[in-house]
This record gives sequence, C-alpha cells and structure tokens, in this order.
Amino acid sequence: MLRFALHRLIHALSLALGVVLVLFLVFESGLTGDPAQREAGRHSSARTLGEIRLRLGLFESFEATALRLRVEGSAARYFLEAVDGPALRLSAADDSEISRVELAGLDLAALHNSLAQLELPQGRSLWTELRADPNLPAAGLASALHGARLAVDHRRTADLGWAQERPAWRRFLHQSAALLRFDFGSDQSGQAIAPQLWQRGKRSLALALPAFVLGTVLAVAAALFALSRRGWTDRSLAWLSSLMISVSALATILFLRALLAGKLGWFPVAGWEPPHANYLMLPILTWVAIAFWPEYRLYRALLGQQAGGGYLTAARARGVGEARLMRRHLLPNAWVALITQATLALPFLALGSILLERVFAIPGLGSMVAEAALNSDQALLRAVAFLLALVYLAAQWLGDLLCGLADPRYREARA
Amino acid sequence: MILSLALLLAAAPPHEAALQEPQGRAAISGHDADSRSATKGQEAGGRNARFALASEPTSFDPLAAETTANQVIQRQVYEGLVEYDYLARPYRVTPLLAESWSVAEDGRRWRFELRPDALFHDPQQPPLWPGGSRPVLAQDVLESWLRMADARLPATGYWAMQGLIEGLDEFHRQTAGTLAEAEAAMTNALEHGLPGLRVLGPRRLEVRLTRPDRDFLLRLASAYFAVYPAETVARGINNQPVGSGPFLLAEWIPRSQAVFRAVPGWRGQTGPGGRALPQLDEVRFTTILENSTRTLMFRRGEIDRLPPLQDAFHDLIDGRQPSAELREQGVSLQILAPAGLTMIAFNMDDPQVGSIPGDLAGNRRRRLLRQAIARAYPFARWHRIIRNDAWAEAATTFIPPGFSESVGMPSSPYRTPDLDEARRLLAAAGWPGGAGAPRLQYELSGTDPVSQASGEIFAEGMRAIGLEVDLVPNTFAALQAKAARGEAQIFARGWTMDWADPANLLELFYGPNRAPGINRCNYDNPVYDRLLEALPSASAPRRRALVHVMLGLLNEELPAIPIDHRRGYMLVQPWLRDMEVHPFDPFACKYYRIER
Repeated sequence: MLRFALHRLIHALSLALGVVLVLFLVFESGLTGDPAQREAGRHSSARTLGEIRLRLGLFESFEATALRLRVEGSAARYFLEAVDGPALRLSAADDSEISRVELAGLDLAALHNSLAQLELPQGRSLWTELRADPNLPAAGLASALHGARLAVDHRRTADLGWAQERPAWRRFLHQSAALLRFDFGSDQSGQAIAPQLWQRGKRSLALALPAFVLGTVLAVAAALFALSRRGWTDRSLAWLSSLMISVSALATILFLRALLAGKLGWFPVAGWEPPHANYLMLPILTWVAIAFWPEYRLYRALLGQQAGGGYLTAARARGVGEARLMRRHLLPNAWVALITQATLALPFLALGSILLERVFAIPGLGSMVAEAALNSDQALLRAVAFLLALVYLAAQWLGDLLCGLADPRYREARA
Repeated sequence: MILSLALLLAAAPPHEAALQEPQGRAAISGHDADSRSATKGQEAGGRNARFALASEPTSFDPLAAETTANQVIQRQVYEGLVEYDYLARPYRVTPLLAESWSVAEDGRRWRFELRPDALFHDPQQPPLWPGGSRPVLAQDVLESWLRMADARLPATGYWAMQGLIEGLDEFHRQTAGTLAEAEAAMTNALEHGLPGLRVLGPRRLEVRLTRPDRDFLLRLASAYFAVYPAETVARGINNQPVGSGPFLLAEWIPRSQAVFRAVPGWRGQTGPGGRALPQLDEVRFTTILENSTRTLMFRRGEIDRLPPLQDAFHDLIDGRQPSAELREQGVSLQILAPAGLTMIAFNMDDPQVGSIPGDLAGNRRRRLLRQAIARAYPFARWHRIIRNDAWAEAATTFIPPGFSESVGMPSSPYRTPDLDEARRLLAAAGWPGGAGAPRLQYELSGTDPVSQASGEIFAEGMRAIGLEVDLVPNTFAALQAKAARGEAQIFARGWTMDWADPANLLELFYGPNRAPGINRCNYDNPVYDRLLEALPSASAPRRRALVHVMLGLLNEELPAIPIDHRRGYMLVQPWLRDMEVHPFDPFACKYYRIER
C-alpha cells in the first residue's frame, strides 16, 4: 500500500509540473496576447505597462548599473538596454558624443526632466548610456525610466520602452520556481498574494468542504434509497431531480435567502462575524440544495450500472434483504466509481463559491477571484489557478488512496 | 472624496464615492459573546453597531484617504486638530486634538494648543510603547502633515494643503528632487519645521498661511489632516493603524471587513447630554456590494442604517417618510441637503475627447464632441433608473444650490437634452451622424448593477446620435487607479464635498491638482486657475462673481458633464440613537448610541 501511495504521489507531482507549464502558456507565454496589456487595458501608458511587466517577471530585473538608450528606425521607438559600457554619454551612431547625462543619486525625476529636454535629431540612429552611481539599483532606474517621455522634436514625443524582455525559457524557469515555492508575488494593489490566499482560502474551505461532503453523502444515500425501492420512488425522484436541475442556481439562492433568512429569520442574511458557523449555515444549505440534484442523478446512474451486474440478482435470489444488499454487495463494488466521480466534481467547488461568497459576503477566495478577473490582475489569477490546481491534485491523490484502500484490484492496476 | 457611483449620498466628505456609496450602511448586531442569536441582531443586547459599506475599504494609510470607504474606517481610529460640531447647523468646527487656538489679525498666523490628555493607543502585541500608549505631541502633527506633502509618497490628499501653508510647496518641490535633496529637506523640516509650520512647544503648534483662508479650519476637519505617530508608519500603517481616536482596530480583512472596539477608558470627552464617549463597545463595517443584500439585512435588523436605493427605494420610502411597514417598526428617515456632484468626467489629456496643447482646430472639434455628448445624454433615464426619480436634484452647473455662491449662478446650456442640437454639434465637429467619429471608451465604476446601468445609459444615449461606446469593466478601486494614472477616457464620478464650501468642487478642475491629484479630468486652464487662487481672500460679493466666471468656463468647456446633486436619504433603525447623518463625517460613530 505504501508503494502504491508513493507511486500515486509521484503521479500527482508530475501533474503539478504539467499545471505549471499550462499556466505559463496561458498567462505568460504571449500566445494569448501580451499579459501586461491585458492587465492594464487599452489606454495604458508605456510606464504603466512597464511596471506591470516588471511585477509579473516578464522583464529582467536589471542588475547592470548602466543602461543604453537605443533609437530604432525612424526614431519612433526608444529602448533601454542594460550594457557594460564605460561611459555616461549621448552619442551618435558614429560614436561621436552628443551630450552627457549626469546622474547624481537616485534622482529619477531630474533624469526624466533631462530626457524630456533632450532633442534627438530625427532619422539618425544614436544611443546614449546612462551610468548610474554604484548605489543606484539599476532595476529602479529602469522601471522609472520606462515610459519616460522623450522629446524628438518640438512637437513629437515618444515613450521609452525596454528591450530587456526575458526569453521565454527563462521566464518559464523563473515562474515555475516561484510558483513551486508558493511565491506568488504581489497583486495590483501591491499587497503580497500568498498570505491573502491563505487567509481567504481557509474561509472558503470552511464553506466548501462541509457543503461538498454533506452534498455528496446525501446524494449517495438518496441514490441507494431510490435503487433499493425502485419503482415509484425511483421514478418520482428522477422527475424531481430533472425539475430542480432546470431551475437556475441564482433563483435557488435568492429564494432560499428570502425564505430562510428574510421571512423565517432562521439564519442571518449575510456577513461574517464570530461565531462564523452562524454565517456559514445558510450558504452551506444553499449549496447543498443546488448541488444535491445533479449529484443525485449522477450517483443514481452510476450505482444503477453497478446494480446491473449479475451478482446483485444472484444475491437477491438468495433472499438477501435490500438494505444488506446495498451495504454489503453494491457499495463495496461501487466505491471506486463513487470516489472517482466525487473528486472529479472538486474543480466546480471553486466556481460555486464565487457566487455564494459574493451573495453572502463571505470574505473568501471567491470574492477575490471575481475581483481579480474583473481587474485582469494577472498575478492574482495565476496564483489562484495554481492553488486550485494543487487542491484538485491533492484531492485526486487522496481519492486514489481511498480507492486503493477500498479495492485491491485498483491498487494492482496502477502500482 | 470620491463616492462610488452607486450613489452616494450621504454622508461622505469630500472624496470620491462609488456611484452608489451611500453613506453608510450600517448594521447592528449585537453580539456579545454570550448569547446572541445571530439571526436576530435586534434582539441581542450590547452596544455594538453594524454598518454595511457599498465599496471596498483598502487601507488605513491617511495617504490613501481619498475614497469614502477608506475615510470611513480611518476616521474611527485617527483624529485631526478639529472636528465638525456634531449637531450644529450650519456646519462649524469644534476642538478635537487642539484644545484651543488663536488667529492673528492678519488671518494668517494660527496657534494651536493640543489637549494634554490625548494619547495614541496601540492595540497590537507587542505594542510600540510600554503600556501601549503615548501622548500626542505637536511634533506628531508636523510629521503627519509633512508625510502628506512628501512628493516621494503616493499621497492622495496633498491638494488639500497645497498652496496653503508657507514653505510647504517648497518642501514638496524639494522632496521631488534628488534623493539627497529630499532627505535633507525632510531631516531639516522634521527638526526645524517649515516657515509656516513650527513646533513651539511639546503641545504648541504654529501655522502660517500664505493667505487668509476662510476654509482653513474646515480643511483641518477633513480626513487628510489626520494625526498619527511616525512609529506606526515604519511598522506598516496600511494594516496596523495607531491613532488617538475613540476606537481601536480589532479585526481587519482588507476590502471586506473592519471591526473596531472602544478604547477602554478613552480620555473622557463627553457628548451631547453629558454622556461619556464613545457610547458604543464595538463597530463593525462589512463590505456588502449587493444592494438587495443590504436591503434585506436592514429589514432583518442586521445593519443599523441604510440608504434606500434603486430597486428597494419605492418599497422602503413613501414620499418623504419611511414606508408604513418600516414606520411601524420604528424606523426613521433622515434626508440631507445636496452637498456634492455626480458627473460624467472626460479625461482632457485624451487625444479623442480632450484638449491637446497647440492643436487648436482639433480642440475645437473635441469640445463640440463633448457638447454633443452632453446634449445627447439621457438625463431623465439616469434620474429614473439610478435615482428612483427621487433622491437627487438635477444639476444645472457644477455646484449645488443652497450656498451663497449658488445664487444667480450660470447654468450650462448643454445640460438640457436635445438630440437635434446634439446631432448638429456633432456635424459641426466634423462627424455628421457619427460617421468617422472615435469609438468612446466608457469606464464602468464597479461591478454593482448601478454602475453597469450607468454605462448602458450612456451608451444608449450616444447611440442615438450615432456614436459607438465600449463599456470597460472595472472594480471601483481599479477605476480609481486608472483615473489616477490618467488612463481612463470617460467615467462617471461622484464627489461629496470635503467641507462645507462649494469651492471644494471647483478644486476638482484646478490645473495643479491634475491626476494623480483630484483633478481627474486633467482640466488645465490658466485663467481658471488664477480665478480659483483669488477665491480664498476675496470678499463675499467678489467671491460670488469669481465663482460665476469659473462656472461659465466649465459650462462651455465641459471637462465633465454635471449630472446631479444627491440628497442623502438614510433609513435608521429605532435602536440606533443620537445618529445624525453628517455630510462631512458620515460615520461619527463615537456619538452614536444603541438602545434596544
């Protein structure tokens, strides 16, 4: 069994690496457009974009203490590059010096001003080097200069940009290492992401876990009940579940809230204060009311398939009672299928909690995810996606172990 | 301050409010640990108040005291030298941290004496000081104000003191210079003060103004002039505030919840009726974005007050009183005079709708475009959907009626809807029928239905004259950040006056206040700026004339379209006593009382 557990753990870890790769493709590879642009929106300045890029790790943080200003083509674009050059100067392409920019201290505002006053002859390729004094962090210089306005002639200005984009493979290594260390960086407002996820995640778990367990147990029990009764009970439950599945979840939420909290006053309407259980009961109940019916259908169908096996008929013919039949014959054979289904349902927990947490004002992950999506906060979205994937993988691993415990054949097939 | 679109209303001092920030929605629940049925707050005992916020509070740093939600939570912890007299109308200030003050005859030199019994209280463990408290000194006032003026920091409130105190602008410039200069300026100012800001003794402070300013004390009562110990900044003031106010921060979930407990044995200030303040043990603010949720919570007694909005308005309000059902429960209604402006703001730096230096012909076309947009804006639809046809007054220009400056003020000709005229203006701008006109970007100011609706109202109005609009989704905080970077094109903006002077609204268009300052329209007109600078020392009749000229400029240039002035409607539970909604201090919780 230990060997099996280890084997499944390695399997889960390989999946985690796969998740990191997928997240990279989605968020950072550039395959789906520039993530910084996505976050900043259409009317963003070069400076805003640069700051986001640095925060997301799309650009190198500059460790060199000198930067080169490169002018491309028709002087429409300017780039900063880290160089090892010796001087601080503005030179033409033939290397004749045009002017010098003096840097004293971390004087970024003054630097901006001197750049804004620099008039670069049009149509000539030229470059300048800005050499900072040794105390100046070049990353700070670069991020401050990125987006600085440069006067090209009296009327035209251009924004500085960086050329130091990280190559994709380095971005991937950088991001993977950070994710696997649970270093998620900071969100748009500059707050560190990891502690927020942890704090809010606990509250979401307090809502999702009981709701999930309760809903699953009830659905399986109801499915067994329907199977053992068959006939009229089974058919009416099938009809009822079809009906309830057709009703929108939002309608169910609003109805239950208006009835149980608004009219009957059994639960508080919304909020979050100790004892927190008071504020969780109605959301959990609502969740179960929504999730129960589709799950019932699923488990009823699953168990029905198992029940089709000849062994039940044989047992029944031997005069085994229905209750014992379910407990001793059907369930042990169905464990693997049940557990597999239950773990498959896990990813949907996260989606469910977004709506419920918002409606019931529970300060969990759900409200944060909704906000992140709305603000296109890429770092936060990435962190949440990674965390959810981990939760799912962990659940799968646990499910695997349970399956292995419940059915030796399962263990053998996968060891 | 900025209100969220949703409406705002009531009581928030000047700052930006979400379109629908009511001023406070509060809720009460008592719960004192022993036995409180969570469902029936109104039956529980205790002196605990519960309120709902309609937008997310993000920080306890007074540098971020710009949004209504942040001001509300910060005011529970921090104090300034003075505060608004809670009950006096018209509004006036009374001593708070300052025990007394005197002003020289020239109206420029002020001396403040701090009260000796004011202490900073630190609820954290271990505390910053042995025993968890230390006295408030004049040096703390100096340091707090200097921090607001430090150009290296992202302060949202510097505009409130800009140009006001001698030497402060110079200090601001120095801190914008090199690192060495900034540090030298700060060290020097901390040690010797500024020409207009000097510590004369442990509790004595002298302020010299650049000119007499009749609003000076009103400004001091705003959240921007909060006084806090420098020690708390180093520790992380965003999440661990330390102030001298009557409440301590007990629980804090950024964006979602802030819970305050009364300082044990707070310094013994008494309120109306001679009762010791604060009169509450606990105040809980919870962010509830959903209007329907807030309404249901109020009906169930889970929050203590509620600005009735949108869908719920006609259920809850019957003319100028609460509905019969609510009256039976003892709920009362307070209605406030308008003290703010809701507008559709244009970013004047934007190349499609704004004003670009030097491009005279283009600027003329874009001004015609803004005027066409104003003429096409469906004000009636806005009023019906967003204001329930009730709780706001149509704006005729940029300041509300009811102030001495409002008498005889010029109204904007473009404020009256007229589609034909709008089409004519659009054609004059060179885009007949909207052909070839730029696609407009309207930034939504939140995820609530009100903000969404405001976008749809705008888009629909523009479609009628052939203009296409993209609606850009944002949370309220995200829009504020965008506008502060000057990257939003068109957006609804609600502003509640920061103090009782309509000139506060005119500062929204003052050139030096451009983004990230409060001039988020980035309107830049030197003539306008000169006029505004002449206001503080002008005599009353001259002042009115100046204001009218400024309004004339805004009416024609339209850096924003004035929409309306919200009237604060506030439903109050019967157990919340001594609660007078104050437009400039929407949650003066220390005066509130719970009696069940």
